[in-house]
Amino acid sequence: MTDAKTRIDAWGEDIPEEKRWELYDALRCEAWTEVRKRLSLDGLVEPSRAGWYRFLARMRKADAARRIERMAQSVAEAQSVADKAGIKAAVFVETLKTLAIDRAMSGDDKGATGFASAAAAIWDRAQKEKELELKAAAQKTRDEQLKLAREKFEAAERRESAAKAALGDTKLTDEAKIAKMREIFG
Amino acid sequence: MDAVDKHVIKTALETLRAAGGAGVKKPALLDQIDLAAGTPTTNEQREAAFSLMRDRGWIDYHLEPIWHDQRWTLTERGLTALEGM
Repeated sequence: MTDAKTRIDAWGEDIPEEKRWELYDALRCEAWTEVRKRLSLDGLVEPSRAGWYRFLARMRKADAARRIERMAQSVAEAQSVADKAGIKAAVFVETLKTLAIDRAMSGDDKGATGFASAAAAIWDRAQKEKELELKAAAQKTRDEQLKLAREKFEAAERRESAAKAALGDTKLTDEAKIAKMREIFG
Repeated sequence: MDAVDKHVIKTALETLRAAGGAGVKKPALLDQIDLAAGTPTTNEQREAAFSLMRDRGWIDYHLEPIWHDQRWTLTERGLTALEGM
């Protein structure tokens, strides 16, 4: 029963919490003989087999609670990573949370934040690539505009030179000069 | 529902509440049900707990948009049930 209190003299209650988790993580899937060996190596009082399984049952319940806590932390962490990276796309933020949750539920809370950070870094890199592409496109447009302006300027200069030459030509009559000007300036 | 079942269901619902809109995959939820029970459970026991939540409309799934996995989330009814536990 969940509501039943744990006896204070139950095996494992006097062991520091950190050590309890260490034993649980290392030995939860091990056979009883392996457990005995490990406990004797650690200098711990050997429990009865039933006492060990009661310890495991308590720890499994605590593990369920620990996973919920880790998952909530991972979700918050993923949200914070997304905020820091300036990610606004809802789908991407949810995906980050999904990755974090899946890792936390598999007991890998470090992997959870690692995944979120890696995904945020990829996003950041992709954004920078996009910005560079946009900058390159803008530069290309500016270069084309400049080229066009230069061509216009050169054409104007050519017209001006031709007009000067026509005006300075003494062999041409006034009518011929006017006709030449019309031809040059359109 | 006895006290153990209630504790198991409550833990599963709390898990879904913590996951929020992202939800969790069914195997992860069944794993959590197994842990919450303390002693290892059978597939049938885990499925029974899962079906109870699903049939009462406490949980529902959506398809994750990128990998198209089914992910289970807590419904309004589930939240109300959890708050009453």
